[in-house]
Amino acid sequence: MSTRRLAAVYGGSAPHHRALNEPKYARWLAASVYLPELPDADLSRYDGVIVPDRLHAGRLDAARPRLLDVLDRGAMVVLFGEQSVCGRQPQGWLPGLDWQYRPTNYWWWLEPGTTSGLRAHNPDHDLWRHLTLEDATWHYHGVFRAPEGADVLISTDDGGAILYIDRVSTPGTLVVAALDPMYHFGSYFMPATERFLDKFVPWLAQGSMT
Amino acid sequence: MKPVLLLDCQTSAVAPYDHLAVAEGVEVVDVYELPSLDLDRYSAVMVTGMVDQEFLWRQRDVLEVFLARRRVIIFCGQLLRSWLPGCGMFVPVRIASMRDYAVRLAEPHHPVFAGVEANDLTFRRGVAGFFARGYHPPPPSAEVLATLVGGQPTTWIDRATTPGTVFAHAGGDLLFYANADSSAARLGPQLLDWARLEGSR
Repeated sequence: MSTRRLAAVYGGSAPHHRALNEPKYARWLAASVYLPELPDADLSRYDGVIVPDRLHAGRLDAARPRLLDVLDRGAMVVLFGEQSVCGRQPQGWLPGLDWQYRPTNYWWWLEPGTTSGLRAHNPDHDLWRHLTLEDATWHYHGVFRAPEGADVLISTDDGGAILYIDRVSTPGTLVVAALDPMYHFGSYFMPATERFLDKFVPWLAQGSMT
Repeated sequence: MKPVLLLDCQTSAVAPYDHLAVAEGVEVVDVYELPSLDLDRYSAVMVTGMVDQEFLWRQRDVLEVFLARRRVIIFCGQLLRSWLPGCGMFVPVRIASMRDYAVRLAEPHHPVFAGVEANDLTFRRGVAGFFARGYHPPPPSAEVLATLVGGQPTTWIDRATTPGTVFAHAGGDLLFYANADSSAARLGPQLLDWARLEGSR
């Protein structure tokens, strides 16, 4: 597999700036696209567009047609979070998205007998050659109900999807993660998010989606 | 007194300023509406960590005029662009152990921190690191209110650089503590009360 040309959306915040300019991630990114300029951006030269967690909901919503264009021409969109737009429009912000808010338990790892509540699925998927469930385990602010036919790779015990790949709802590939690694890495907080990005970003660039 | 303007970054489903203790006397407006606002209506402008600093840098003249009118800017975050007069760029602190996150109050009787236990800022339900993971180099005459245990000035006030007042905190949104089940819950309301008074001089 040749390396995908990936663009990432840059919201102008300090955490986004750190995450996207960290050399070990930036080497996989062909471009950063500043969020207020995204509605008019030409994304046609990219194989995939990464949409970090915690972008301004209104500005991201204004750029929705560009992300639909990417999916419609068969390319990839990677959506992190995304409590901002999905918090305001839980269903259908992009095709197949169905989000549900969950109160965050930052403290599960301190409570005796408590687990993170996350489960790995589809053990033969290429993602698991790059990443372990532990690398994707810190907390989540919501879960998704994955559309039928999507590959759910991580879920909660009660069936909420934390990470899934949807190649059925559009001609493209929509990778959805109910995780906020860009914010936490960029805020110098929660080391697991760095382990996750160390493995997930190269996989997005070079891995197989099946 | 004039209200505090909170510039909303629209990045989370649940906003901490929905909490009643910090909702009164605060107006929440989308940050991108800043150029069209009459800032004279406000005692203070509060800016939080997910704000688009490329945008604020382009709006720095508006903020300087606001400070020239002796008003207050509160910033909780990591400074990336020089839109905040007197404030150095964010410097992350190298954290070797959880103990490095310990908060020290340099001015425990300051109205913003009065009655707040430093330990309640260091820990939220046993987890350290929410308060700050770095600092902004302050101007020489700044009043340092809080530091990390290594002496790094996480939280300070600068009244010398401009006619107004800059309150810079190199960490999380201090209003977030309004939900805490400890003395830290006082911090958000006290910060807003102080800002309204300070910006009404």
